[in-house]
Amino acid sequence: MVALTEDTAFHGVVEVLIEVRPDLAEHRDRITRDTGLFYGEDPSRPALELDSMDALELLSALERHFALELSDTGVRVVDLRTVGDVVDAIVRAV
Amino acid sequence: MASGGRDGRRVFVTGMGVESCIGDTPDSLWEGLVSGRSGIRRMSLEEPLPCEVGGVVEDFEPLDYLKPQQVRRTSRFQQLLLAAVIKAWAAAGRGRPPHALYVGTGGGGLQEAGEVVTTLRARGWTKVNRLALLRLLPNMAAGVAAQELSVVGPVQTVNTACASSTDAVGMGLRAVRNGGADAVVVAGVESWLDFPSVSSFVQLDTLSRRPAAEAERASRPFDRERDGMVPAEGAAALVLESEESARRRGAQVQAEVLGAASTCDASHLVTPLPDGAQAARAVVGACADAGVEPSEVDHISAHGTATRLNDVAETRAVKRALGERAREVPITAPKSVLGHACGACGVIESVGLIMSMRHGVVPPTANLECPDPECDLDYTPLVARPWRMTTAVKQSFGFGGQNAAVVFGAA
Repeated sequence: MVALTEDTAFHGVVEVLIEVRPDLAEHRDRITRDTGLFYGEDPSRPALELDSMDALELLSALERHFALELSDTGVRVVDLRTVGDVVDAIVRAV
Repeated sequence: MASGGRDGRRVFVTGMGVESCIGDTPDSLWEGLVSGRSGIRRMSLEEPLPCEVGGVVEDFEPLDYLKPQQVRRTSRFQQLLLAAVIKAWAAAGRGRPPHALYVGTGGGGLQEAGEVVTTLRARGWTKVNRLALLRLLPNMAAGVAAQELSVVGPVQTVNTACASSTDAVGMGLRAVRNGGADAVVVAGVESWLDFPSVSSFVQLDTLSRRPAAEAERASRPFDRERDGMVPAEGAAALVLESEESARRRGAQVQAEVLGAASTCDASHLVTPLPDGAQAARAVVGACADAGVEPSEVDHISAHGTATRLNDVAETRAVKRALGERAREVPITAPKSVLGHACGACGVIESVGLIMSMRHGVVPPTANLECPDPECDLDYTPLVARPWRMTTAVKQSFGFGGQNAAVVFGAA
């Protein structure tokens, strides 16, 4: 299998985030690796404010989009704090 | 109008909502019941089963009640309940959220549980839906509905098999009459028309085996040719409100809930007590709770599953409860057109009973062409009957010897 580039993974993750949370489409251009996934207490750091069910749906949607398994990679929702964390988990899993 | 319970406030029904195989509004449900129009059709499952027929809620569109994201996250039993609850609450027209929500269900998310196991065996644990548990736990239909209606009081799911939602009505009655709640929602839901669930009932040998070509004739409560229950799905909800609250806001009152009671046969897990003694005690107890004599009952909506044993035992129970009066009371068996929606049947059929009282007509028991000699009460065969009703009983009996009865009064 051809290795997935980080850039391709990033764009794929953004597409999947929007699939799970269509309201994020209007903020697409502002999503970066450093964007927080969940509620962010620091107002200076942008966050997508996914809830726990969004996160579980995200994992399933990522599996479909990238045709891979995440359940047996050890990745846990609690370990995914930023979009970058998700991208890295995808790249490792491929 | 009857004077209400022995103590406590009067409790009115001020809203109703329903999803059933013969209608998705109280009016359409009524039209189906009073015309004896069956909602039972051919039921296609993954593999053929001896049971070929069922009561499916056709054309149900969850997007009418839920956002796409919510539809993705919920199972059918959650969606059906939510639709019924939303409609009942909207019909009541009350601004503030209900104080409590009581939901009866027999199997909960049985269909979802079946899919979990099917996926597990076929594709492995990593392919099981990550949200499956939230879609199958029996309390999670109430959970979704509570979130939608912002219910922060008691949100409780009761499981007494086929008596579940009748028991839910009793819980709601007590919350308003004695517990100080101004308004609560009581509801029932069942969605179990999936291959694993229907297979389980087939193996228990409780289901009708009439062929699909005879679907509308398959459910035959109290008939000599009956051969078992017909599975069905559905949901319904009632808003129960205190008299003070209803009158203060000028609510339209559909009926009054007068009393409720539950008993258990403590005898056999499937077969009802042949003499109907404990089932009768539930009816007598509900009347006592209502402050009425059993002789004042002028209509009964029977459980009438069309199994050989239930219908005989139920006949005996009615005779025990009402005594000589039993032969003078017209009884109807709504499962003859609705099929058996298990945990939901109590509230679905209560909507039908309330509509009967409002219209002053007892719906016919469909397919009752040749009554079983052992079921020799007036089960209103085939033809609807004008009949003024002031005090009517909804009775339900479930696996495990569960018996529940509610007494309704006319508005």
